[in-house]
Amino acid sequence: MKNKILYITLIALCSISYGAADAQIIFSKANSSIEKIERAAPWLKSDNGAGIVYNGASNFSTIKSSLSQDKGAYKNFYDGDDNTFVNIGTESYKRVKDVFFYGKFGYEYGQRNGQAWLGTIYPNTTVNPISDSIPGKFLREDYFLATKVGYIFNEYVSLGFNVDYHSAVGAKRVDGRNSNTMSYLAISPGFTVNLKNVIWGLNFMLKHNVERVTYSFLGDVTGKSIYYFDGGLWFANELGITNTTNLTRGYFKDFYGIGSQLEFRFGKFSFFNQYKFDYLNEHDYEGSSLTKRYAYVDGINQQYNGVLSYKGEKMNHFIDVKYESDEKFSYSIMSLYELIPGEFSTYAYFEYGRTLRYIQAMKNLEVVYSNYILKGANDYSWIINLGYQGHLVDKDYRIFPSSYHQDYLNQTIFGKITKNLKIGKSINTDLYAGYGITTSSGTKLVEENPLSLEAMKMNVNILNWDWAYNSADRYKIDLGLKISKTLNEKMGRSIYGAVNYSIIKATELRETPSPFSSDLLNRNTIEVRLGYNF
Amino acid sequence: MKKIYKVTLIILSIFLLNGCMEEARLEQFTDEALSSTINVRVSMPTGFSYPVAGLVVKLNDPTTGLSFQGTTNSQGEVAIHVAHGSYFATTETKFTEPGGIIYIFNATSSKIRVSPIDPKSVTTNLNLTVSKAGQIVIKEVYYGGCFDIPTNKSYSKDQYIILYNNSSETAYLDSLCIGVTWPYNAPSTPNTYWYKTGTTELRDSVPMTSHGWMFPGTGNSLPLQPAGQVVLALNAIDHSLTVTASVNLGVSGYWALYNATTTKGQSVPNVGVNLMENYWKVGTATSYVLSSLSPAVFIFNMGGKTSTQFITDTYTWNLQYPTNRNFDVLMVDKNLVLDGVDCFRNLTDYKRLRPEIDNGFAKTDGSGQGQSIHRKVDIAATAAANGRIVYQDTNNSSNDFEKRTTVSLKQ
Repeated sequence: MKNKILYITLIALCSISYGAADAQIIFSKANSSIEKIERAAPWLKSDNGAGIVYNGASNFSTIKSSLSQDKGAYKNFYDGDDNTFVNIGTESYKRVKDVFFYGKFGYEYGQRNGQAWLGTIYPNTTVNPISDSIPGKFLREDYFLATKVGYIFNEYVSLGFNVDYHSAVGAKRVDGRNSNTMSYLAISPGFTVNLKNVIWGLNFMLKHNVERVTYSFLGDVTGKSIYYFDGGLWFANELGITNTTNLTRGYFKDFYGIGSQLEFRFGKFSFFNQYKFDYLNEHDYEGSSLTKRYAYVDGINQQYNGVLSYKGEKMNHFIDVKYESDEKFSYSIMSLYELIPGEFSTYAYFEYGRTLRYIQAMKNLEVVYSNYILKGANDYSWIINLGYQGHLVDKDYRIFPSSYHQDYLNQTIFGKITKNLKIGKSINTDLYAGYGITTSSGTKLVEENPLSLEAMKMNVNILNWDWAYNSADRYKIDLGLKISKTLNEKMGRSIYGAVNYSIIKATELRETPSPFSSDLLNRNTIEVRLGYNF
Repeated sequence: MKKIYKVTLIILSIFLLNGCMEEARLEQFTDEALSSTINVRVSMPTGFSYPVAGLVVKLNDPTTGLSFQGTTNSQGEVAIHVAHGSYFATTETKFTEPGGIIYIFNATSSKIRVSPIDPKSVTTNLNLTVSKAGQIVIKEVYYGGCFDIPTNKSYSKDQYIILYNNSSETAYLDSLCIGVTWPYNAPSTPNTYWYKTGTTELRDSVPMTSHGWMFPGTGNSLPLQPAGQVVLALNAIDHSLTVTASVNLGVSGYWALYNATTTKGQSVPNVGVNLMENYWKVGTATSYVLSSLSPAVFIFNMGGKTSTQFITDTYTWNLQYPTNRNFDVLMVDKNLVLDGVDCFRNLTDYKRLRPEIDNGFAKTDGSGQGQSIHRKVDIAATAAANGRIVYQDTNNSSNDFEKRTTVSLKQ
């Protein structure tokens, strides 16, 4: 713990000091932001650490904080009735001769009220979780650390690496109380080759993610249950709580990946592409001693990001394309408690193969056109965004002789307009409004030879709730205001405050399970942000 | 331009990979890949030649709760297609001989494993064992207690057991014993300490724990008429006076499992309540309790022995706690057991009573629910007995018992 605090403090100090030490302003920092810098150079958002050598802004730092709250009846089964998050962090880009740095540190405190059916810190962490139906207040803390280092090795080749660390702890303040710890570490070395008009990059990725959960039951009220889910929250063993109920789980994931980037630059045109591929390997264990593995999951995640841009004198045009395909295959492990050969009365778990139970395939496509109407270098008067998003999910569960299938497709068309106003010499105002409309279609459930087991039951209410949430037609409105004040134009120092508000309203529900009603449902989010750029 | 063309081709080929993993895995998602076949052959015990056709053979996997079944052919064989798992095969049947003797046949196999790495088809034998239908049976066990709303807690001091004369002849309660097995709660992992060495079969004797209780008398002093019943209470007082949802067990004629010395922590029975004899006790507890979640209760006789001799012959260290004398047990031979019922908390629990005693399990929704397990009425046998209620008795509590949401003494 001491070491963790030391590392966090050092990286946080480094992140700040990059900016504080900056004496040479190489571009108009006062009007800039992390988002603008990354918009101008897509390499910065790639997984290739060597890509940060294409940071045209070079030196920029920010300290920021935010407070957000969301609440409303349009929520999935694992969402809190209302959620509140407080976040503070710092982020920085810095160049020292041929070495480029990026550092990030963040801390978030979150509170979810009335949360149930979530035995992990974040939803959809695993398809085989332990969970409970008892609503309560869930508190969590997250620490985020990230760093990238890029080095211009010669005229053509740059080398770099990327390290990402995220840890979180959380606990529910009600009996049964689930307390969770999660750690995530990603390491990605890479390089780029710059042939002037064409830049090619390649990076490798190794990620490790561990989450452990333990339920505690003090027994204030009888009749509480725990649920061992098996494949996408459809089937579960409901177990009464006793002193022998196993209430500990560990989910261990490894990702092995590779990413490649390719950018074409022809005058004012540029076309950036990134394709990345992750192979997932997940092992789910009962108990803390890792002697009983009950599920194995593997899968492939593929992502493509493309940014086609034209940077003119009066307008910048961007077309962003994001495509993601995620496939997961969940196996039930046949793990039997048996006498150890040669022993008299010592038993252990032995594995006898695995059986495929659940397949989940998700595809996501997003295409966004953005037009920046400029009023000066690094400054715009309008931003217009128009986009389409398609989200397709297929789920199949099989246990002989039964099979179950669900699929749905969400299609969203959205637009957003942002207006920048200058008030006086030092105040910049950004106003934005966005609107998106989502239509949905799909199949809630197709069953063949449905099981009639007393032990493992389909969680019908959860299924209905999840379906109602995901298959709802809905619209979303976003409104926002950001005010920045330049403190020192020459040093590029500014402060800002922003407020964002969004509302999602379900216009048509294909199912109205409890607690949904036929009335229109909505979910509101409000966020307040404060920051200091330097 | 040629370079752009090549890059486009690479990107397109990557998208063609999309979904290929799912296609490759579909062959693992077929009925053939997800299942195996268990062939079961049922045979009668030596000396019996009843037919073995038409028997329902059930396969249960206590780990997953999966169950499958099939019916035997004229050779007593059946092939059952099952999902991968580790199963126990069970079957039972009964035949009535002239003179009214009812023979009950049942069997439970050792564990049958059909995993993805095992052969697709395995064969097992089910050798039936025989027992006679009991005269005195356990009619009801109320062990979970009720819920006391004012205190917001479960109340389980009102546990009781009802014994019933299920025959047309007068039965005698003299020296009839009652006990509970070790472990108190149905185990959630295999009950390995009580298996025969190297097998998954329970031993031929039942480990009885805590206290030994018996009706007084050695002859015919405590008759129980056909369709007569007797209530055994752990705390023989009127519980409904303090807990509205509870029952009155302080009724004259009821029997109390109480001893002023060994169970002084229990309530002193009301006047008129009879006292069972506490002939054996281990441990330091001052109360006798049933598990409120999953007891295994059985009644037996001592085979003509005195209680002193019976203790001498059956007293055993608990294999699970060989250095702790508080957990010692009496090993009651299965042939002395007249009836028993094995209660589970969860469907995936493991058995404590052998198939000749109880080839299944009974279950409530948990403690504090005000529920009991109650034997079902055998409608055909009751009609044949001219209206005298005859309860179902196949030595399989999954068939014979039902969960009652209101206990019989509350009705």
